[in-house]
Amino acid sequence: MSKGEGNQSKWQGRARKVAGKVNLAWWLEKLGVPLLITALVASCLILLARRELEQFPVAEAVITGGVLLLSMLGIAWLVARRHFESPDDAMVRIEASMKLRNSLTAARHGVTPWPEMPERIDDGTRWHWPRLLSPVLAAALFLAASVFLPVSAKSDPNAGPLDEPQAWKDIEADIETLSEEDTVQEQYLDELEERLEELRKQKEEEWFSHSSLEATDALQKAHGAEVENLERNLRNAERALNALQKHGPNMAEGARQRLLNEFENAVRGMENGAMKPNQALLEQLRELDPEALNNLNPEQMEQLRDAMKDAAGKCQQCEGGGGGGGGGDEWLDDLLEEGGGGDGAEGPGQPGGEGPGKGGINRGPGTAPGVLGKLGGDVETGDLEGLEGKDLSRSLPGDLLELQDGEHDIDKTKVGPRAGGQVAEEGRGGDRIWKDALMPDEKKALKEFFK
Amino acid sequence: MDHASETEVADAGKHIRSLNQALNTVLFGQEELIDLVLTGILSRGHILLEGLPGLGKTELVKGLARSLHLDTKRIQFTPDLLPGDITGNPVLQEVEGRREFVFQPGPLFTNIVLADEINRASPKTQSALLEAMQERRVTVLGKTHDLPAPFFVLATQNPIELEGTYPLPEAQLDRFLFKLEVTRNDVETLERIVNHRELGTEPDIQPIMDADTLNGVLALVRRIFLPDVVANYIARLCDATHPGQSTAAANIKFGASPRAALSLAAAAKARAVINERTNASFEDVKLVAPAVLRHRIILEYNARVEGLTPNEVIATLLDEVPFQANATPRTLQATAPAGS
Repeated sequence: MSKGEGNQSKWQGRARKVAGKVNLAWWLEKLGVPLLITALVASCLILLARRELEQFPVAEAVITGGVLLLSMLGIAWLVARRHFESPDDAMVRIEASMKLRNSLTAARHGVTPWPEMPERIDDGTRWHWPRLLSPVLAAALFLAASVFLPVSAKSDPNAGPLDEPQAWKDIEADIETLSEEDTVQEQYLDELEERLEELRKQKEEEWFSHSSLEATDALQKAHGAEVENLERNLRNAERALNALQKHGPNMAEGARQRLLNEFENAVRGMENGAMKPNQALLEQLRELDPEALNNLNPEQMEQLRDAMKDAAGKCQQCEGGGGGGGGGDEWLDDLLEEGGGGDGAEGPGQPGGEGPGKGGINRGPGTAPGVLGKLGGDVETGDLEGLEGKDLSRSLPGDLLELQDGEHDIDKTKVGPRAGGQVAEEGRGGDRIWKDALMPDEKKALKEFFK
Repeated sequence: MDHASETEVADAGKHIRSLNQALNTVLFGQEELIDLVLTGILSRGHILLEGLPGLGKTELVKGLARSLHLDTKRIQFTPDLLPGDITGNPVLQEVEGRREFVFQPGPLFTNIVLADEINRASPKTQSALLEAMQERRVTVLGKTHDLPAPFFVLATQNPIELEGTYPLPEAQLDRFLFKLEVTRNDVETLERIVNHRELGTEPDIQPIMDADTLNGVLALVRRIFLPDVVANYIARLCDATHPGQSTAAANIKFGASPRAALSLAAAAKARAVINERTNASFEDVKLVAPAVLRHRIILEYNARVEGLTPNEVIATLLDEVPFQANATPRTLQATAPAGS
């Protein structure tokens, strides 16, 4: 091979390399946007698949991804092909960059000999790494995000049973407690169990839906109200019995009647309520004659009261039960504390009360003090009471509140009629002279003088 | 057509180098101007020299004529100069006993015409000259007279004292291959002029080549290889001067004509011979582009008001248009600006 041919071969080899580099750059450029779009779409599909499918189809995804990638590479190559350079074009690029004065082109046409190849060849370009890598990195980021982002599948076979709402568990616990202790009748518990089952029969994904939670809430509230109602009735009945037992013989007729009514109301409330105490207790209470409490021996009475207290206590332990316990029945406690000796219970506002009370062991007859609100201090004649200004926003230091005799400050200057019906004040002193006596020229002169 | 060989080019290069050296003894400190004048001459083009009086324009032309051993005539253009005064007139003469009109050639019938202050002549006279420049022949009373070969016009015009002048129309400016700007000398050059020249005396210049040799070199220039890629660069460069074809052309109202492209090609070939190469190159085109294009592009009014000059626009254009036609992908970064 001659020297000329050697140079030609070297230059052409180099030109092929440069052409390859430029063509690869074109291919990568055309690949950038489709890669980004495909990665974005693929990421969405992966996320969707992870969300919707029970088991993510890894093999299918890899195959589809591979096919997509290959198609994209092919399409990008086809698009980029229009821009591809031949080695001859690359040779022009080299000679332009290296300022070879088109000697390579001339040599290629046989006009001049091939020049010697220098050690360093510069084609005038270098890789634009940020532009080159940004689509690849962005695509990788999209795909990684779609794979690693925590997304819970709609129905994961590996996941355990869905945790039901806490309210259901509470109601279930109440049912178990009440059923085990045999506190209330089974019918209510069965109904409650049945309604709870209805809620459970819904699809699991609907357990926490708005309607389901609302129904749960309503059931829990109704159950709570029933528990509270039973508990209150039991306590009322027990306390009424207690009061009757303790103070029955010494009690005033009104108070005794009221306790009897209370007891009957409580028993009726228990009978009418959805949640009834256990059959044995209810029967006992029904058969009990409050008028004939003396007929019961203390042990029987104590047993009955214990049964009622126990039942009320269990009701109170229920999650659905409130902390009620006979709210608004303080009069009964008072009565028990007072020993039932007075008639003061018949005060205003009390059932059966007429006018002021007749007094009790703690107070005399008459209207209870403070019935109409907080009592103020008595102000008698001659007493001194300090006045205090609450709103000091409009007061000024030195303001004096006082009344005094005086006249309004009225301008009593005579006012004379003027032409055209106008009325003008004549003024006083120098002002009057200024207005009435001086001519315009004199006024002007004076104004000039005093300026 | 067979391309010029390296030997032929080297032989021509010797003559041109001698010519260049001779002209540099006439005009100090104007190496670039002399280079471009020689390029214009070797391209068979006419040259418009623009510069202030006393910068040596006429001396350069006279020196060129002497060194080329060519006939030269100088025409001082004035407003009352008539076309017949430069082309020649038929004169009634008695020939062989008969009276007939005999054509008396004007000063155009020479090898090198120095048209001083061409913009002072009326448009009628200017157009007569410009027609002769283009056709290289003169028609008087229906009879065509060929001008001698080679025929060059080196016209001058003064950029100041524009009152009473007739600026050359753009179409006529296009006939000039180059418009060269003769700039003032620096201190060192002025010192050389003072030391080596005297007022009223002309430098002694020996003829370097005769008309035949010059014609041979001119023929050689035509045989210089112009690669397709360089022709493509010339075409893209000229196209880019038109509004909408490039960013730089936003300030251009009218772009360069195809004649400008031909001029660029011819001048690039001439540069190749001067540099003793057998092929024209991108760099040759880039070097002669300002001289070829500056009088062929018409700037927008706004650009002129803003003080933009054709030279600045052309510089931007040359930076914008890359040598190679193929675009570079954006995934590659150019290590040097386009067109460098």
